[in-house]
Amino acid sequence: MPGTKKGFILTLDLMLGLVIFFMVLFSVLFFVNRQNEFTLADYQLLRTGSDLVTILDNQKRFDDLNPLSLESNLQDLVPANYGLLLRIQGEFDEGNGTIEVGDEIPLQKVILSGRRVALTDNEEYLLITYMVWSKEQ
Amino acid sequence: MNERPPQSKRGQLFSLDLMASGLGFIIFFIFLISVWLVLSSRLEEKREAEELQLQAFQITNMLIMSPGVPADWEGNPAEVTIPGLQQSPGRLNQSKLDAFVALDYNQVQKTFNIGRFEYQFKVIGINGSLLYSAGIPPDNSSTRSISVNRWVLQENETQQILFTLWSRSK
Repeated sequence: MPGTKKGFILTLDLMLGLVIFFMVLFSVLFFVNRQNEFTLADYQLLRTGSDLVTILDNQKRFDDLNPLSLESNLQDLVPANYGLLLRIQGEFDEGNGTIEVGDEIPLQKVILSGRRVALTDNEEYLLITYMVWSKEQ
Repeated sequence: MNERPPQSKRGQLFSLDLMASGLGFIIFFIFLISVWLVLSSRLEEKREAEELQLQAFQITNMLIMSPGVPADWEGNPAEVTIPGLQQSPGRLNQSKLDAFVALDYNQVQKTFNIGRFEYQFKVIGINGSLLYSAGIPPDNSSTRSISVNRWVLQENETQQILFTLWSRSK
């Protein structure tokens, strides 16, 4: 029977197709992975936010829940090259249970956030969300 | 009579083709080996940098977030297992800090298991003044260094802890 080329898988085409497919796949994976990478600077920034909230908690600055005094404490405490915004949530009357103090969130900046809980001397449970970013000097 | 079959070019090995493909293979092989060497050296550098980072972060965490082992190690610094400076969360203990700064350099290296690296520990005030310092600062022989800074309360003042871990060229 005479041979026919119809229906044959052309090995070279298949190889070329596979090579292109895997090249695209690996490039996408590489860039997606790189985008999600948590750098040393990010970790450092997050630790700074966490440390500052720990210091405020240790100084019992969250006990009176007065936004003005908290704002003034933040200004004294936060280093000039960092920006910090605190969102304090709990079952208190002030601001219907949510207070926000600190800097205004900038546009087009990497902002990292973390959470921690605090218990005031009046046994009030607070959920503190901190947002931290670096500022150009 | 012996008749020789007519010569055919099919199936013959052409030495020029062989040489060209051999050369192609060798070039490709050398390229592959060089890529492999570059990648493995980059991977090794990355591994070393990550190890340095991890050690620096873990040591700073241990110093700030634990009172040390034993908890009253500052009474007998020679017997310290793990130095820690914490008095309460976010606050440093003054006597522990004094004892840590006075600790022998090699002893600190040994307790933190960082014999392959050098370290420097600094406490800096909020106005930028250097309050305490221990260890060796990175010099010209330094190949890689990682600095971790943390914020703590000490003597009711906010201070910055700067721990630098660095490696020397071999």
